[in-house]
Amino acid sequence: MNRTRYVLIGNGAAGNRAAELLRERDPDGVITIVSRGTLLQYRRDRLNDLFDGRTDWRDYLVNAPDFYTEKGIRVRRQSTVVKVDADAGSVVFANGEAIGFDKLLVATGGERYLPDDLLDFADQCHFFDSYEEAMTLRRALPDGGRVLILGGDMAAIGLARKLREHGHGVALVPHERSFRPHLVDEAAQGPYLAALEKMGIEVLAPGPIDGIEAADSGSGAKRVRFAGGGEATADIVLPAYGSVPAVDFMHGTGVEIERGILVGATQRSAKENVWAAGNACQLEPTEKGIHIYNRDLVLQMGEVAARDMIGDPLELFEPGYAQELALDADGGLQSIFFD
Amino acid sequence: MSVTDIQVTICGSAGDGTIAAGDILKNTMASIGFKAIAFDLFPAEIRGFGKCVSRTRISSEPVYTLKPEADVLISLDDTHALAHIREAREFGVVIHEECPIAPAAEGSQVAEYIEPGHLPYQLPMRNMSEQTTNSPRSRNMVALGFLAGLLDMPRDAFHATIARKFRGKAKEVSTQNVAAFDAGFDAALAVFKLDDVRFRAPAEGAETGAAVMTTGNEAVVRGCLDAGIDSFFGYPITPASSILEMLAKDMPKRGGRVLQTEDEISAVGATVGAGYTGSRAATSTSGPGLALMTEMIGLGVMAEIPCVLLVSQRGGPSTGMPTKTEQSDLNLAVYGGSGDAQRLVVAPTNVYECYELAGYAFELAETFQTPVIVLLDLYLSNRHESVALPDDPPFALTAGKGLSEHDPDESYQRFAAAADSISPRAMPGEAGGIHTITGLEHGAEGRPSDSADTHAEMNRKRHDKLRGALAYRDLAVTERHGDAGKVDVGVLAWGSTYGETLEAMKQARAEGIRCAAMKVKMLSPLPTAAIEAFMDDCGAVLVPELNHEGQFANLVMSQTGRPVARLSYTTGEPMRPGDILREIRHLAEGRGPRVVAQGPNAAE
Repeated sequence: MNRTRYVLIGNGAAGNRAAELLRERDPDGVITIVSRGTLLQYRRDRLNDLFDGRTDWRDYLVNAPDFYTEKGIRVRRQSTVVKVDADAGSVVFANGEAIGFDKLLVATGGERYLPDDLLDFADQCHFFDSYEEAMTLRRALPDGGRVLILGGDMAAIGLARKLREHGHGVALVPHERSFRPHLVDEAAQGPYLAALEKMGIEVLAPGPIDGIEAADSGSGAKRVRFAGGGEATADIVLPAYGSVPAVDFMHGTGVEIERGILVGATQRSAKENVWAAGNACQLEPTEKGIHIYNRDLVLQMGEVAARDMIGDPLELFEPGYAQELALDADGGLQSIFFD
Repeated sequence: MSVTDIQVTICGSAGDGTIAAGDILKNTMASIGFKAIAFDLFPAEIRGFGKCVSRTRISSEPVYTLKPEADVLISLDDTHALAHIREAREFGVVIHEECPIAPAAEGSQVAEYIEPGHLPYQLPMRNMSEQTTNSPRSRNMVALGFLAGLLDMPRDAFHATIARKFRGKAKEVSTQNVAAFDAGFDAALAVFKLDDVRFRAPAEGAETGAAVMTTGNEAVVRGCLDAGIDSFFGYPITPASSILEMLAKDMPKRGGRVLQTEDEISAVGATVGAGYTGSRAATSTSGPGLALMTEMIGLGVMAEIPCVLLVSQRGGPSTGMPTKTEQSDLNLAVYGGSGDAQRLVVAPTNVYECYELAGYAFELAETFQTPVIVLLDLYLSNRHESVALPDDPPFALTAGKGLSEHDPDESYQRFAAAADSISPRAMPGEAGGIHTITGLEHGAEGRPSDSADTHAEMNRKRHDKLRGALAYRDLAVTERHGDAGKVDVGVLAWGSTYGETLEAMKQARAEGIRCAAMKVKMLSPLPTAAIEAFMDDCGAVLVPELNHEGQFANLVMSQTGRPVARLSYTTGEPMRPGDILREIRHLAEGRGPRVVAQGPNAAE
């Protein structure tokens, strides 16, 4: 019996939803999720709860290990894909090993965007994109400590709200990519920054970073120097400029890539045996503008891709998500990325 | 919770340093005050690239057996480790090679088989070894260092153990191994620790340096030396060969004599002969060798000659499974040979008792003027435990009735009747001690006799004298553990299986089952009074053992006339505590005795 080999690169909502549906519809298929990380799928969007004392990583798992065992879904972790040969049906890992596929779903999500002026100072910064990074930040932040957010995407602003609840000081250096994935022109950021100040977040003047270094106190605190003069100190410096699709390894495979892998209504790429979902893909813009991907939409993309992979296509979701950042009547910030 | 209880399994190919890494781990842990138990598996083939597995359990509390699951699994060779992946528990750690020397074929990589519940840690062991030592051979040290760093184990203690291990070699060997270890250790410091394997510092007051990791065979050798062994004759056989090897190294330094004979028959013949001369003499063998030795054991019994046979069981019959453990030579040890040739058979249940019973065996042999078999098994011979052996050995260097206890007014009779059935024993050449010695039935003076009365009387004498061994000095031949008084279930066990019995009993008691266990260290004569008293307290009695026929169960039932439930199987592996626990539960529910002989997990 020829069993279809499905390889799903990415261990997030889209990849896991697709795996689950593929198993439902193809009991004999060989399903392998490939992940760079160590953990099974977990709720990255809930990591703010670490500051409520919920520090055990098991609490964030979407499914217990038994879920994968019972469904016969392999999860190959700590595996970085460096090359895909769509014609040969092969995925190559950084260590030179390879696995074959009949159908491939790229659901790698986004990877951290870091402006060029920060690249040399990344080792002085903390990040909040994974459980490991989030725990490292939490451990490094002293009681009542201060966090300096550079840029300020919606994940970081959500974290800032939590930090304020717990008595931490938070300051933010605005950037043209602040509030990502919402698209807010720099000139239009004023009311939203004001809303942040109402939340107790100190908003500093924007400006390119000239340097980040250890402060003199020996406490682990950092000093950020701005190109235009001036400086700020904090216990934690957190760059947060949103993400860009993590699809570099797909260049040269024959799929079309702009902001992400271009897909049609069923998430299929230009290659017959390759699909993409979630932040790795780029949906056609609607008349409302480009799509803002939240968790619900990403789950739907995974499901739509899986349906097409098993030959039962379905154009499921209403592709009308272009929600903007908003302010409520009290001037408070409203976003689909807040709980 | 401040308890440390970690089991580490290292799996590799012969030549990967699998066993060496395990040795360093367990010796380090023992040196800083942890209790440890370890068991290594070697390939049966002497040459080649067979599978090696080192398992070590490290605990701040006494432990009696290995756990069925590992908290950490290290693969030094994926082709061998694949079969052991499921040995790692849920949320346990799997450490494996990140950069194989050549890309492995799809389906042969550990990374593909790591279970969803495992926490993988890829490590470029080969590259790190080459970078630090210019050779890939220290991959095992890199992996060990990574383990130590991951679990926050003390780096310095490992350095000291590595230095000790390579003391006899060029300094560079030790330096390079330390460098490889440190590379792994530092790499672990840089990774985020997700696992829930917790290593905690040893409890305050934990004795450091007193206990060392010792195998059963090493303890046997130390017991022999501390008891003043004079002569040893042996023929190599797995798993007893290391006894011969170690004694050959140590005895000559102490004025002793060691001879590797041409076969087992020669070995036991020489041992009986040396015993006759008054030399403290021993041989070692396994089941197939013991089968060859039974004729000379009969001579030792008939001629009342002290000698010691150190027997380590393996899978049988015939050549059987030389590198697998079993307890199927009990019948041979207790009954093997012609005629009514009762001898003393003692069976240690842990490494310390290997020392204790090997040492006491010489005293027992001299006191009761008979061959003594010390019955081990491969699992006991080869497993390591952290034990502190006494600086001041408890063994008497001479024992038994000598010629001086003979009434000088009477003519000397080597086999004279006595209240305890033990006659004064003259050494060859001893003035006034002229006597005849023979394998023929004989009278008190030793001359051959086929008189019916003499044969009956002498058979009685040779059996009766052994009863005294059940109350010899402070040697406990049985020990009871667990709940006192009446219990729902009692477990009667011998040999290495007693460790698994204790673990199962502990779990059963934690579940609220009233449960006790009794170890039986003397198998011949069987301490029936103590066993019957134990059985009186038990609603049901379970006998777990690693043989097909239930040999100990048969022995107990034949001598007590009481029924027992049996759990007996032969997988070549130690018994699983979970199997014993399952039978305890079955009996505690009042479901009555049953025979489970088909293999582990066969019941229910």
